[in-house]
Amino acid sequence: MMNQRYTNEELVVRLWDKEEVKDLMCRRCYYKQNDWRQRELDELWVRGAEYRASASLANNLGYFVGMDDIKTYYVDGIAGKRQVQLEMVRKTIPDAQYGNSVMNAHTYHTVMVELSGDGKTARYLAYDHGHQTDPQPDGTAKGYWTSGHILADLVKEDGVWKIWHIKSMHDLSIPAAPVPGAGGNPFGGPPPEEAGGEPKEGGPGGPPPQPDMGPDPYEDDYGTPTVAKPYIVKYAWNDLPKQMPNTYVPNETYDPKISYGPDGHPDPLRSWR
Amino acid sequence: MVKRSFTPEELLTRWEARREIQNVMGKMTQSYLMMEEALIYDRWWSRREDVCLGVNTGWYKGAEAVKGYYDALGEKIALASRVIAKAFPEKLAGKTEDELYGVGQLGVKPADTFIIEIAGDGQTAKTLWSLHGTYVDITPSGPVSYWDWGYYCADFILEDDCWKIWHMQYLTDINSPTGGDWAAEPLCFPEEPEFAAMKDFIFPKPNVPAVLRENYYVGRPFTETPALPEPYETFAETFSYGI
Repeated sequence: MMNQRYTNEELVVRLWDKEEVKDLMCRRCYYKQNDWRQRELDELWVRGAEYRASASLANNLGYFVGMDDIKTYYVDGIAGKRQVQLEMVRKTIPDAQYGNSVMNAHTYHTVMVELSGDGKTARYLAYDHGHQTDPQPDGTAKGYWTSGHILADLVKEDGVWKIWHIKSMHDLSIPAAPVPGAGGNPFGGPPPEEAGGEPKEGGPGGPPPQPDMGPDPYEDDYGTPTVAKPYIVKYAWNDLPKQMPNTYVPNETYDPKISYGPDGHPDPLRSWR
Repeated sequence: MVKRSFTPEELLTRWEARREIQNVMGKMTQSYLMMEEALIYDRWWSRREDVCLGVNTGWYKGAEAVKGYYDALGEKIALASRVIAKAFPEKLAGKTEDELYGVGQLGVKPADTFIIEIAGDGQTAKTLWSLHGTYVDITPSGPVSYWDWGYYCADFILEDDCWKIWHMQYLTDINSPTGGDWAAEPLCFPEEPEFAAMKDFIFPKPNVPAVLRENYYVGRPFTETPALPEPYETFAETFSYGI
């Protein structure tokens, strides 16, 4: 069957472009695990001035915009955190070196990649299951399972795909060890309209009592974004990424309104009503 | 090394190679789900003598050692199946050994987040994958479930037009019982008399002992991921995931 839009040669290039985009994002995943953050910005992110000015990296609080702000948050921020952790660890292991007792891993799966019609940009959407282990002041460490969305806009510069915008939307961190009081409290009782009043935590029709899970270690790392547009997990349905267009009707060119940079941040009033 | 350019026809061949390698890894990990560990060597590994499999504690070097590793996995499944059948006669009496094989056991070892670099000459490929798995081990304390997180890294080689595993490392950062924190002392369970036979099973040790990776412990030095594949023309000019 002939494709109406592209020659066979163009289709092959588009096939390969999708592989290159997936490869690039997987590399980014491993660079992050290795704390190769400056190297990531140097090797995997956009090089052109017009893209570097508008490059962005988002967390749950908003967007760090421009490579300078991204570096301050993403590179210098983690260096500062690692120094604090190292000083903590050295109280029990005096000769500890960078990253002692620290561990993190990320996996990008359930991947979607869509190329724009002109083949110059791509959108990437995946989910990140991982784990994080942080040393604690008492000489122990604590492990967490972590989960969140990972979204990106990529651009082809001089024939090489580069990261332009990344948005990490962290959903939850779950302590590896059971938290006392968690689980074992089934939903139950009559629905709230029969019981009267609003459903309450632990009450009729309400969710089971929630244990104190302690602080989410991710929240320590959010910093102060250039553009404060939050992803509020509690109301995640307001803020989930817009569905990609159908694969066979891609956007012809990059469209800021559906980007994963600040211009594409969903308007909660529009997106959930 | 800068990636060289390929014609559309070459790109399509390389795209097919990437898909085939993904399929081999997918089939290998499915083998764990199907309790077909004993078939992994015959089905997915190269017939070369210089194959090797690395685990945290060392290398299974050579075809005989690699085959022995997977044979041992199969023998352990068979023994555990017999032990479980004996422990639960009301549920399992009358079943044949084939029907019992793998009962009460689970191996989920999916591979994702992959980097695949196919050599410029198209004869070999280097790959890195994340493993986020779980499995149920039948121990002298009975069935115990474990988290199993780490990496597969593998060199593939084209043999008779099929991609085969040449060297593989199966390395873990977390291999600890579920329900506990991997950063704390692992959970311990009392031995159960009906599972005592599992104590007699001795898994073959690597024939080249070495510390390839340590599971997490408080005080573990910062441990980077295994090396990432980089573009290369022939295998002689890149590093090996083998020994």
